Amino acid sequence: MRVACLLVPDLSLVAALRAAPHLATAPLAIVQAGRDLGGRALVIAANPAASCVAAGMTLSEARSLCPGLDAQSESPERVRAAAQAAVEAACAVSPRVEETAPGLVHLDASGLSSLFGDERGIARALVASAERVGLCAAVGIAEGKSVALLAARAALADVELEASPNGVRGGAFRVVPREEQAAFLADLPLFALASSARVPGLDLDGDLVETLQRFGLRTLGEIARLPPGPLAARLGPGAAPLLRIARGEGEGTFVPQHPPERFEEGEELEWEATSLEPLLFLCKALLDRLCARLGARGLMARELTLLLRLEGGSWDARSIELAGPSREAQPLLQLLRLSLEGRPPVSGVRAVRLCAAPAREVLAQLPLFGPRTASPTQVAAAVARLHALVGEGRVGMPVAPDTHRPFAAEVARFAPPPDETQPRAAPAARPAGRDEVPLAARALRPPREAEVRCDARGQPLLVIGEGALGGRVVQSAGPWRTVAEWWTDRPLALDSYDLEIAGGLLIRASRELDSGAWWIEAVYD
Amino acid sequence: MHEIAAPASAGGTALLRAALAAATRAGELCALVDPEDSFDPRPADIDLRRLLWVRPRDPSHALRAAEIALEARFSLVALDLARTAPPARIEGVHVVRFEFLRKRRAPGEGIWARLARCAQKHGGALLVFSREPQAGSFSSTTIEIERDRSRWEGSAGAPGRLLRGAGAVAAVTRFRHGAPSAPIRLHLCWEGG
Repeated sequence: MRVACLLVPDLSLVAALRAAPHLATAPLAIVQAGRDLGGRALVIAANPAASCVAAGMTLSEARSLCPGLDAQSESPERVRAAAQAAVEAACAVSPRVEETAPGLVHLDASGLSSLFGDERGIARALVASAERVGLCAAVGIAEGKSVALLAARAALADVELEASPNGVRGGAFRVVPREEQAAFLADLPLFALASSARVPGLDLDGDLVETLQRFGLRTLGEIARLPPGPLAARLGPGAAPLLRIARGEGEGTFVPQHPPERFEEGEELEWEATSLEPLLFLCKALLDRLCARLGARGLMARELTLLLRLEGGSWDARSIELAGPSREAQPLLQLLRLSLEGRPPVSGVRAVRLCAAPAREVLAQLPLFGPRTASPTQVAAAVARLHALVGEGRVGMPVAPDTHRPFAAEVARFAPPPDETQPRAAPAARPAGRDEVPLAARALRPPREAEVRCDARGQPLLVIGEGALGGRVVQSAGPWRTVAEWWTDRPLALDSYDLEIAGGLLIRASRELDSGAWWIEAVYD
Repeated sequence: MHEIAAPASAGGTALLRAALAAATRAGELCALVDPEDSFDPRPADIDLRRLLWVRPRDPSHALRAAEIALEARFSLVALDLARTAPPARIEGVHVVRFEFLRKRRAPGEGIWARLARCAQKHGGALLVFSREPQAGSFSSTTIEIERDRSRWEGSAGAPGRLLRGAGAVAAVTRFRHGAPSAPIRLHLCWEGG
């Protein structure tokens, strides 16, 4: 089976550069998480600009070798997000994906040629997909998982870290055709099998690799030529997997996993954020990265969850349901602002995590004739922007609720039906000579209180209301009694009247039966 | 951009609803920007599935909302700026209102120019409804409506008396591609509710 391997070298470094791409060209070292940046913190990774710094050095050693070295603590939130982004980059190319380790993803490369051309095209698509989510990756394609990983590790030599708007780029790939696989493996040095801090390995014992080198064996080709029996007698149970790798027979079964159902981006703060602006600044960067990831998969966010890790270690979680799916950072940021302003965190914030529940982008066929209409994506983005502008519960599809309350209205999620494929029916022609339009009612929400004077029979004579909603009653009709919802805490019992006020204003007024209070509920217009 | 100017009970809302009903029934997506929160969804004249109802709290947000809807290529955007009643008072809260005339003045010509350009650019129609004409020369068509007599059925004070409708006189007072029209008599029929 042809397998592709996507490997993100120095995941903690790439995760840091994804958040701050401008540091790609400056000497930068990542040190252990949770340690202060004192001299005894151990360096985990360093970028090519700090080539004299190696993993395992203390920070003071590294600074003595590279005086201008900038140091950052490893951020588990960033690493977690970068590892997720690597899986999504692979999912954008193949539906069968397995995450073997954080930053190391295998995918089934068979059957993709119709989409991307030959295997070089698949590898190129994987590198580009990783770059779209701000990652620089080495890609290898070969027969079996272990050889694909070895090919990806061989491609690492060609990787050049460069800053990009989303993070870093400069990935490389190595494709090993089936007929050249034996030659590729024969020339590989043995140390290519050993795990290192830089890249995850093949789970081979480091002592075993050292023993082989002491035997004078330097390449995989030399091991492949040895008979299996004597090799097992000398090396024990570790010999069998080693021999299988050396002969290109494959090691490890490919187990495809479900693609992630939530998209997450996170960031840790070096100090506690106690005001809104630094938090929103951080959220903007997280949203930009999240939207880029969603865009790379052709998805949109239908719900956002903001998780804030507070000073004491507790989490403040808030969920924002969007009126329509969106992947526009600006309106989403506005919604986060509204949520944070409405309920500020109770103490300083140490880490921020933003999760998006994805929804598939709906694509519509544009009309060949006639003007271009709104596409579902445009409509969803506009609904999200309007939601951010006017606030929660004030944008959507109008719905008449199942109640007897006069002029009650609610909003529901706006989901217009797809365009009919049938030609649209022309509107019915109006009979000639009749310019009739249905009279409409403008609801007053909430109803305005009024004082109404009535005659002996209870018919309204005078309305004293706010502004223009008052005057002598010249025509009236009613009452119509409504008694409903007596089984609830808010029973409804009222008499309604249609009134014409002097001057021509037509209103609907109601009198509550229990209190006798009058309300103007609507104006006919 | 088209404009309807009518006093209360003259049929401006009825005309706006008729436009929304015709557009939604023809399968077009429409948006109604309703800062007064006065839309009644109960009558079945409009296909509500194709209508986006936006209820901004602030008139400046209403203009921005109309612009967003036009940019998203909604076929018809209805901007209802007609005011029927003063804003509701919040019970139990004593409101001290300062009048800042500069802030409260009607939107300037700049916003109408921007909305008209936006509608033209994105191929949508913007229908503005207000009590007085506001958009001036930026409006392609301005329809002004005046109240006429209301129609009642049954004798005054008797049971079973009903409001049957109202009359109105409408005229196209400004039309960019032609002459203003002669007054047209409109019959607003009340279908119950």
